[in-house]
Amino acid sequence: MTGPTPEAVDRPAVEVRGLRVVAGAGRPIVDDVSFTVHPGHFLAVIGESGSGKTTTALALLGFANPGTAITGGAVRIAGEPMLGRAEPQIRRLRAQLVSYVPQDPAQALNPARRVGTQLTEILRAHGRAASADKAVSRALEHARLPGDRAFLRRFPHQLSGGQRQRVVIAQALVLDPAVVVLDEPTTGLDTATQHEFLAHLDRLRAETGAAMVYVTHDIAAVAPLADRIAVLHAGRLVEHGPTGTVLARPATAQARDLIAAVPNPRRRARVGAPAPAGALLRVRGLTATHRGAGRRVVAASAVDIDLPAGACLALVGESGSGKTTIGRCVAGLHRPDAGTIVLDGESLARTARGRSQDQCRAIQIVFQSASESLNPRRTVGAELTRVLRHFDTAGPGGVRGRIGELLGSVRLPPAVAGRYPGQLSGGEKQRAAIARALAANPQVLVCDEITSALDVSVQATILDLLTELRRRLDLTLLFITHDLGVVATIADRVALLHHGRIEASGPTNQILHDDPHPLARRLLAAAPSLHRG
Amino acid sequence: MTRGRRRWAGRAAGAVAALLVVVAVAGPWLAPHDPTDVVGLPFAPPGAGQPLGTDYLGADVASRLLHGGRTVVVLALAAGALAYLVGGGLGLAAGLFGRADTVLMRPVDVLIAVPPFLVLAVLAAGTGRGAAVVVLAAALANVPGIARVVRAATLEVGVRGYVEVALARGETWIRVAGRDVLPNIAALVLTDVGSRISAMVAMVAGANFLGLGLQPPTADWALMVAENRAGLALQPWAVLAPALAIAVLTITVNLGGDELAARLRRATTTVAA
Repeated sequence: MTGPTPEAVDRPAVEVRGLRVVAGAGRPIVDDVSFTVHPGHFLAVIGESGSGKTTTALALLGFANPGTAITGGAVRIAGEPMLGRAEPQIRRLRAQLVSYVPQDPAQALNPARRVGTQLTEILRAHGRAASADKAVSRALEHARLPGDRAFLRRFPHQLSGGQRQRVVIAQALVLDPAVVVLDEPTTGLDTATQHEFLAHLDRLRAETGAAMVYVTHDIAAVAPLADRIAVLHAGRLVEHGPTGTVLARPATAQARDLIAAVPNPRRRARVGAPAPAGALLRVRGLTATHRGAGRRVVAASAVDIDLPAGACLALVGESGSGKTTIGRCVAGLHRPDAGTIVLDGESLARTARGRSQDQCRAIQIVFQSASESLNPRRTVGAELTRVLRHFDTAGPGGVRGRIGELLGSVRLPPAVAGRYPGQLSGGEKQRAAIARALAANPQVLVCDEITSALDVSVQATILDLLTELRRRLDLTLLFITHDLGVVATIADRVALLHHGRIEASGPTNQILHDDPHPLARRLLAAAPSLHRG
Repeated sequence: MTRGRRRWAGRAAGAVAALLVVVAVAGPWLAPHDPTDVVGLPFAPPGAGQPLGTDYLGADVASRLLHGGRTVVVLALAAGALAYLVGGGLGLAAGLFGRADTVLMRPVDVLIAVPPFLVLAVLAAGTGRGAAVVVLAAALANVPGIARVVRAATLEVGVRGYVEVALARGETWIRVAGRDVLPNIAALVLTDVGSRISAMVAMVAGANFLGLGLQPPTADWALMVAENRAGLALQPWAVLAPALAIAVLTITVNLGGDELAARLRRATTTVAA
């Protein structure tokens, strides 16, 4: 938890003074940011998207994205100034002093080259081919990866998500940097893998003495590791201090909001479970498989779900547990191999094509990736109109009036109707996707990880919105998530999934707190939390 | 070349191609003589009243040139439209329905293996020579490539949320294809529209030159090259002028198509940014 003692530290690993980065038009993206990180220390840089986190992180490498420029301030890595140098010099300094782990490390590996090659080529590029074997085996050892030939000869697709991540870390460490900059490296990983990865990082900084700068919006995940936290808001450093102080007594409103938005998995659910009388949606013996590469993978086996009208059931499981497949079967997007789905007493066809218009209307689905779930070539208004016309659900106010109403109900201004998805932020896109689902006047809304790609503060507003919509429109929610913090906020019932089977189901408080199932215990232990006892 | 100069070149090529198409279509109204009127001695050199001389029958080369573009342009465009219609439809259906994929794409794959001029020769032998045969052969030569690209692009867009919710709403696949898939794959599919159309111009011209398509006395650039070959030394304009017209049309359509594709791509990225 603690780095080397302050006496052992002669000079800071990272020193940033008055950093200013501007966009093409001269608008500052990052302004007057200063902080220091000592060797072996861990600084978490947190903030909402658009707060300048990534820009700041890249500036530590003396790099500015195309269209932006570093116009002021100083960045020193291990005493070496990184700004205002010629490109070849900067490259040499980067090679010696600072490594970068990008967002989505899975994409940072070249799928066509073997793991070993990808590690040694870094050393070769920096003229250190002679000691390559030793350096590679040390980096692999630090990364807790097997160093044998068989492993080095594997391709990235032959590794698990967690292993891939550790290969990227090994790449970052192979040159013995003084500083490692990590930019949201766990985005898209399930909580268990993320937990394991962070524990691994903690060991690494103790072993290598490298300073770590970790950019994230997930405060809960990094809080146990971080020595200090820097909070960015609209390009300015609004708060910077030891983790304990910042979390317990945030001085600024921006930091307070950010911390308050983190859901607490240990909190008891707010909502009491309604009497499970007369299920609106009843799933019996649902079995679904995925075909791929000549074999069948069972994604769900003999799943039973009872969803009473007006309830919110959270389907919880690690990635690969089959929760998304179940949601897709309910929405008619995946053809189950066996089992029945009954809505309001009527048995539904296996896929949407076989269902009546009214049955299609009654179940709507919202996806995780908001940017991929809206057609980039159509305005939000055109998409809403299309749904209203298709199901004839405009009502007495007409299509235009209904669009205003729908946008209002997801707290978007009416002007959004004329915008393309590319002109909206991530949170706005997800609201637009929810509005599109609501346009059908659904009875059941399937929410497939709809908040996991969003900032905590945006996530909090979306969850709040869903809770309100559920009450006002009497919506029934099938909420798919891996995040127990979210579950406690929204769901009154929980079903825990493991390898395609439902291990336990019942009221949220009972399953997670009163009489926790072993799987619930494990998920809770891995869930990031600011409120660990 | 800098990006600005490349863009300028693309625009200029597009303008020349457009001008050529206009001239080719409107040419017959501008021509001073009827294309089949004998106005002088065969293979007479350029002179007053006949700016490009006369051809092997003594008809005005300039007038035949103005008449002869229409067939090239119309046949190539017809072939292009047919190829994109059939190839696009096959690709969309194969991409959207996993089960139709094999049934639709295997025959298309077989077509790739057959040389296009062989298809043309077989068709011409079986059904007789004529414009329809040329159009059909030029289209068939391009259907497999277009179908494969459309299918691959559709597979990628087909898993996007907006396609899935539309299908979950029970919308027909034609509607989903038109609203959600086509607008989002157009830029990719039309990347090589320039080279495809210019290849079709070349194929139509080649077929006519070989005598598999249009027959004399139709005025057609490729036919003109074929019928005046014998007098190349005597009256080079009768061959060079139509040959040059085909070459310029092919090249500018190619470059102009690239510019169009680049614009579509730019439009997509700005919207998606």
